[in-house]
Amino acid sequence: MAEHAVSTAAAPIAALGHGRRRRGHILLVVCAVLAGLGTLFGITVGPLGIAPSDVFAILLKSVGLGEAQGVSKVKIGVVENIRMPRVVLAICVGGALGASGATLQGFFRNTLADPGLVGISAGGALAAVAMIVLGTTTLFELRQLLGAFALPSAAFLGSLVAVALIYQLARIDRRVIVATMLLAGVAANALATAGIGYLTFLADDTQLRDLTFWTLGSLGGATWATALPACAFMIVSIIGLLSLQRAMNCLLLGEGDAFALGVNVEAVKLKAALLTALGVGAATAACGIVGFIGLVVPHLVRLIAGPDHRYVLPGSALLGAALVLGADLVARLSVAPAELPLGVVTAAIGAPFFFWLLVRDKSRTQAG
Amino acid sequence: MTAAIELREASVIRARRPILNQASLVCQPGQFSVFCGPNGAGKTTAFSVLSGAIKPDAGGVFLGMEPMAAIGADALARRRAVVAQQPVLTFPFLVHEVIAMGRTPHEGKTSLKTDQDIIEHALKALELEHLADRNYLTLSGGERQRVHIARALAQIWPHDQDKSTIRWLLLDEPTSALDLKYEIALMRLLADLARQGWGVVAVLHDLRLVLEYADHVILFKSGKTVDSGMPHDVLTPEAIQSTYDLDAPYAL
Repeated sequence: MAEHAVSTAAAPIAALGHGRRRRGHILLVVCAVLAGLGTLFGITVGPLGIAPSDVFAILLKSVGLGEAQGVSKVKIGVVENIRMPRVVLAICVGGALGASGATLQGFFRNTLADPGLVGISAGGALAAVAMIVLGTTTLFELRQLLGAFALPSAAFLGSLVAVALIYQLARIDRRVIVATMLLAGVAANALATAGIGYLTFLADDTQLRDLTFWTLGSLGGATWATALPACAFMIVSIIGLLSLQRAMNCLLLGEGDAFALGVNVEAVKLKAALLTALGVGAATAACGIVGFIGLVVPHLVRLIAGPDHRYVLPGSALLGAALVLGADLVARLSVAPAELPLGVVTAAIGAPFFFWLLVRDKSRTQAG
Repeated sequence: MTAAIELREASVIRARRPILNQASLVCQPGQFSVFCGPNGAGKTTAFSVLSGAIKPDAGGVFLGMEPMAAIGADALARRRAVVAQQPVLTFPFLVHEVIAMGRTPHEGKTSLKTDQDIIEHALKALELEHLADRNYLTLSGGERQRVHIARALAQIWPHDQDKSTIRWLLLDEPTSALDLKYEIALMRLLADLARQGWGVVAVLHDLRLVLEYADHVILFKSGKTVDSGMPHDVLTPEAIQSTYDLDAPYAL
């Protein structure tokens, strides 16, 4: 077997996996197009319809090119101050949750890991609410010091504590106990909901939006002032996570094998935990807990392009952005002039998907 | 200057008990070395120390006179590959994708063409060509084991830019899931790689295979190395009796 006779085997190695690679490339393009369309609809559609050509003129004006002549001031105001921050936030939130979900699933080597289900979003939300309510009293100086970054920073810390806790609880002897991971998530979610409920009760009306904003998520009321600091955090998170592609692939072989392949396992795990907490925390600080994006999106990408993180990570970021943009459109339009919480829409898509995964895994277990 | 890989009085303590107790051993390049001994004798622990995966609590581990800890994980990965006991991969990669992961430490250093040639060599060496496009999760245990061995070969396969570095292939019970045919084929492959100058180190249980194919055997008992040398000299009926606590001398 060591004598390498001239191969008569069918496909040359370059042709192997060609289908998957091509599907991966197509997927990335399609997701980018979907995100682009979502952005366009997000800006043009609403109680005040704005033609794409007007939007284009306004965008040119915003970056200092052109005057947007013939476009009403109201329209300019709506695009610049209401819809633009909202779609930008939607893109970042979707991208951060998609990439974080994909990373968590690789990190725990289990595809049921999701920032919402395992309580990382809840940790971030609780810390953000605590910062808002206690920011006028106990945490006043810290809040002043951090300024606009106070909320995402607090949420980052809250999410990080949740990641560390779940990792410590669910990991025994280099193996992750899935049941413990999910149950720890149930406990973390319950604890955070109780904490948020208590803090909302303490808070006055000017401090806090209602409980549903935090537990079901919404992009409504996004302004540049609130969106930009969070978006900065999320962009750092997304770019950082994308740089872990190769290492995440190796981690799927197990930590020992990843080390043997030259991966600095502890450093990669630390980066993955920090960047995930950064992205999920910032997303939660800006728009509350938006569930299931991190679960559904990486699964869809893997179904099409396979489990290679060189496609899964960018694909999840793009598809996450497209999905949140789409879900936000549904949230805005389905009960107009009122608005559904975004989390209601994502849960309506995600919860049945989660059930489907459980049923699929159950039938696989029985077969095996 | 020796190019050997060696443990010098290495100890590993777990739960205040030494599971490796001042073990010393030397494996030379160009030789197929084998760790033998009863269950719990410290073979896998010594193997993990040798691969760099665990650091000894006392004593040292050296690769070509250099302390193992001084070699970066990345540089180490370009000259030594490890086949571990239990694969944990649960994601549906294709077989050639798994083997391609062996090229990770060479990212940006070798061309795509070189990588593809090497993956093809590795597929052939383990007779996996017909499975190259299969989902790894649909393979049998023995087929999976061969995939991971092929991945390890791909990791350190010599290529035009680097033919001189000594390759180290470390395998922990690589035949545990293989049938007779592939067991023999793997032994021949390992002996052949050693003849080409690679250092091959394996943990093996089947003493008959060791006698037939290995150049060098290291005998473990109770966390210590008790003997080492040519298989015919070391694996005497009396030595086997005392190492494995048998009732009578055991001739192979």
